[in-house]
Amino acid sequence: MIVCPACNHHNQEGAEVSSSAPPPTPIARESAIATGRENLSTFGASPLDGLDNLLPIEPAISLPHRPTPLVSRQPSEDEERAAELFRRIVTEGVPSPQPAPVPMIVQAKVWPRIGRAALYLLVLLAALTPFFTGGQTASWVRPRDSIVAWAQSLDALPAGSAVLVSFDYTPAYGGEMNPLALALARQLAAKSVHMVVMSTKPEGIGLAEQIVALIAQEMPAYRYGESYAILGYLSGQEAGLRTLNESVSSAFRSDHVQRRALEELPVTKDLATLQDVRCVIVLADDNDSVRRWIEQVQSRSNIVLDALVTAGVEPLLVPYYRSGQLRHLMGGAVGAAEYELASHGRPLALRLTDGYAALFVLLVLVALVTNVAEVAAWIRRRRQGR
Amino acid sequence: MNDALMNILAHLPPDAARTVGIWVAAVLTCAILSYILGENPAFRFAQYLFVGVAAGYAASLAWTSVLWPRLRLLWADPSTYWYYGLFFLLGVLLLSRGVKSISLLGNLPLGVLFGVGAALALGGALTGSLIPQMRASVASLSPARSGAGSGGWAGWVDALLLVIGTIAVLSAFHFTRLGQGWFNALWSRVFKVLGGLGRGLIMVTFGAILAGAAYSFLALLYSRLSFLVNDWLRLGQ
Repeated sequence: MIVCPACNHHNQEGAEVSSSAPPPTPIARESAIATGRENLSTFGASPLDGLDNLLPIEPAISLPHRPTPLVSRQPSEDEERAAELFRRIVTEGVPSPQPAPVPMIVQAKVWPRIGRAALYLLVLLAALTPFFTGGQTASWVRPRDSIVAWAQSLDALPAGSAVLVSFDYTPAYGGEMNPLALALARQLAAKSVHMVVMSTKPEGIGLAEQIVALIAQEMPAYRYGESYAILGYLSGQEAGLRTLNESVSSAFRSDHVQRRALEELPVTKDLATLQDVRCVIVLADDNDSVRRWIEQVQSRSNIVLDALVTAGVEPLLVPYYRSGQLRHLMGGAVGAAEYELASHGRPLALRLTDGYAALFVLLVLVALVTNVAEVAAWIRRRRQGR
Repeated sequence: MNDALMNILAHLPPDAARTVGIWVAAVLTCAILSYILGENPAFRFAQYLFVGVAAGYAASLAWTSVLWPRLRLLWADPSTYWYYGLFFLLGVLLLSRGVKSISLLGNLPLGVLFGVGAALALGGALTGSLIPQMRASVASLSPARSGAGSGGWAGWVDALLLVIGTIAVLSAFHFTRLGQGWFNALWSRVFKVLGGLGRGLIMVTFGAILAGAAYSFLALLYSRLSFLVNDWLRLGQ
């Protein structure tokens, strides 16, 4: 045992002090580090020389460990099976949620294009039918009871009473709605019923001006300001209609044509609220406009509300008609022809009945042909499947 | 310049404006109908023109009929019509949405717009659609209520169809799976049958809407063809 001259610490077992040994080569030094058991005090003559291995745990912490040599052995059968399973799992492809795309034979899309073009031409022919046949089927039209009742209710309006007509449709549906609006305006003007015209759509005012201009040409005694007036465009949708329901003069400060206050016009001077008109007639090309009138005006003031709409919109408003919220509901197209018969008006829409009949036949034929073709294709597919 | 223009216009025939209008309308109608040959520049031009003219007309009408008359009132009598000033201020604040740094100011008018709009729409839908429609769907199935004779029975059938149709269509939107047990199994089967009937009724409704739209479009097509034949080509006169 050797005692340290600095601290009188006793050296541990195996520790040696050597001052005469030559410095080790790098390889020998590495070897010494690797074993961790060699005496490192031979590297220099410092005061700490010979104090190695004072703490037995120090080499285990500070010195790198030599890796444990791998023991070469044969894997067991279980291990080989597990390795094979692992290899298969790793190397197999990710299962796709969708089946792999099947290459399809691209067919030339000739038949669909020809079919579409043929359908266009057939519809065009149906629309041209009235030009050649001259309304052969007009005599088949029988106005429905509801339309007759509506025409009679307009006939029963006293002369001088006021009716509010709202042109809530756009020029896109002018072809369908204009004959209806014209027939209505003619009937009201013929009975000297005052017409107060407005619109909740900007384009509707232009259409209203066209219609009343035609009526004014036909009936010069039906004058602006005395028999009819155009209030203009009502902005604000729900809010605008609510305001109109409470006060007409709050919604419209002046009329649209002469820019005069409503109190100055004979036809509108007694018009304070919508209760002062006999009924409100809405001409619309969408169900939302009519629904707004029902929700914001009719349900709050119980005024009489009639709706003249396009044929496509009519089914959506039938529930309101059945519940009594709409007194009358009439669709354009066929409804307009029925109304012309019921009101003994000029036959504008009646001329189109041949076109409607041709379109009806065409639609039935197309439905039959396409369904038969579909069933045939289905049978063919089933046979091929077997 | 103005006088020269007036001179030219004075020498035009009296129905020149109408003739020009008819020609413009006819050319645009042909451009729209050219869609039958597929998408083409003439169709697109007419389409854009239609949208642009409609937007321009709406903007000019909003100025002349809505904004300008109220601005004049505010200018003439600000003490009476002060609230128009408030609304104009809100309207101007709405424009700030276009500038990112001050776009926060636009939230106030938007809040007013959405708040008032939603309140009116919801209140109206409740009192004008939901409650009246629910009340209307509660129909009496007593033939005596529908009148005497065959009309009474027809009314009874009508009311019955209404009730069954309403329940069936509502069942078509029932997607909840019930629990175990014979009662739940029976109930599920009833819902399945009613749901199938309801889906059929919905298809019938769609068919009616489609048929109405087809007639509607035929009327529109006829009106345009009638314009071309009678007013433009003058073949029908």
